[in-house]
Amino acid sequence: MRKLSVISLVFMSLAFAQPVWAYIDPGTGSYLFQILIALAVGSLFSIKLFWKKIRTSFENLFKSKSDNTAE
Amino acid sequence: MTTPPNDLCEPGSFRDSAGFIFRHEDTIYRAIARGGQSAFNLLHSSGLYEKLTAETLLVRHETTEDTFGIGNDAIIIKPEQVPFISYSYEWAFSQLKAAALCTLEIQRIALEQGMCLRDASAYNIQFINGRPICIDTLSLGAYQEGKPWVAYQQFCRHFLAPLALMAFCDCRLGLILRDYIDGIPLDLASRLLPFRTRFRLSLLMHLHLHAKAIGTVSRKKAASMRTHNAQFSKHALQGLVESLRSAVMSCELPKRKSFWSSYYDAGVYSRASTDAKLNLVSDCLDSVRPKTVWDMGANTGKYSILAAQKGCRTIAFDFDPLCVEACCRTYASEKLLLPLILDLTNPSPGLGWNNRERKSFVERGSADMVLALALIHHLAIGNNVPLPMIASFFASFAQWLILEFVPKNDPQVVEMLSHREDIFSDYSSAACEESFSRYFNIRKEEMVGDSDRILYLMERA
Repeated sequence: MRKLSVISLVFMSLAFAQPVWAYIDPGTGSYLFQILIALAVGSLFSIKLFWKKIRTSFENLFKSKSDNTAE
Repeated sequence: MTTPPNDLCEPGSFRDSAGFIFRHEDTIYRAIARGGQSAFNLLHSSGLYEKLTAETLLVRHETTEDTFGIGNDAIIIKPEQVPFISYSYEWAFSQLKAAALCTLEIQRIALEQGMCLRDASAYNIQFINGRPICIDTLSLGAYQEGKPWVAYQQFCRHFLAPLALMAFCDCRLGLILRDYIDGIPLDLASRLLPFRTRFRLSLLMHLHLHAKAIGTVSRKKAASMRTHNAQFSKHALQGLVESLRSAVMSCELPKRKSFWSSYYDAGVYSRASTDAKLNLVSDCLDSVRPKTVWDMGANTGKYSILAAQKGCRTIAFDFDPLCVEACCRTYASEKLLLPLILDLTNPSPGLGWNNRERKSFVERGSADMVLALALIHHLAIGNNVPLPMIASFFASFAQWLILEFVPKNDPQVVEMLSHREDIFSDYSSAACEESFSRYFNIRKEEMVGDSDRILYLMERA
């Protein structure tokens, strides 16, 4: 039991070992929260990029169509 | 850590071991310690410096010789100088929003170049030529794959929380930043915000749930042990930045006028008097040609813009956040005009460690010319400040002063005294001239149009 708590303590300190220049305190709660929302914000970002791509393709499609009809 | 010579180091620059700011003969320099130099070199080698300076998101700098005795292999740079230092608790809503978006844009571009912001403090942003710009070149460090953003909480505290409070609660709440120098605690913001803000996904996530997560981490220590293997990908970080941008954009002030912002519309002045005053002020500006002008009690900037359009670097101070906001929106394209929130009866104090990290108003410098139009009766009668003390206050930072004396029979003063005992037997134009003559020479004196107000042009003796 004692061995397990020592190992957990080491794990904890390694897991949250701060990069050398993190001179501000990010807060453990904020770090954990980011990991929790990673999927949500990542997915929303993907959807946004996807929509942007769709919109640009549509714009290019209509642009080339109007170029064709102009000729 | 490279220790600066005590007499040079700026009092607010001690937290970052990568370097510090110091002043030498009225010029600001930045010393980059050995430990901060790899990030600094990466900033240049990655092309990020060029990208950010091209978009005026980061101040330009030039490397200079160490003639200051810093030593320890420090690199010394001379950054673009900031004409007037201001702080986030002095900014109107639009200015804080622009500063937030500037920070996020820097982070977005930095990630593309393999770098990341190490902190997201509002004090890294200053206004130069009407635009927010990052002045902390050492804020950028190498991006470490897999790590969550170290500055996420700081961004939420310094920017998102006050913006949300100003937008959804009350626009005066930006002032809370004065009491919390590392930004508004998220649990406080969450508690003050109206319930309807929980229905906006970005605010729910970055303020309300974020606050809860911070508050409950001690109980969730067991959960944290399971997440130690979880990575925070670059894609997730980019998504986080985009999500924060949405959150900032969703903050908008409700459309509502304050008493002050409709002051000029309310017919306080006759048309003739307004025109006469504009001409008088314009003539004074033309004859003195000041480089810097501070308009105290500037309201929506009607007279400040005169100075800015004549090429004077002008600051329009007013205590009403909505007036300053109106000034920002009306004159957004005027580079030489900086509107700021300031209550003359309670100006920004010195804050932070030793009360010296953030400069008080009186330490911010001086102006070639100060405008005190339709102001003196608010100080003397509205706030019971004796005329000699008002004179001494202006003398401490004004080389030239345009003062408008508002007499007791003025409709505004009559209204101010209508429910008060008139204890102001010492308030008169003669007393005003006597008080100000202790410090200034009165160069010009004219009646303002058809009113009984008197406009004085004074020069510091």
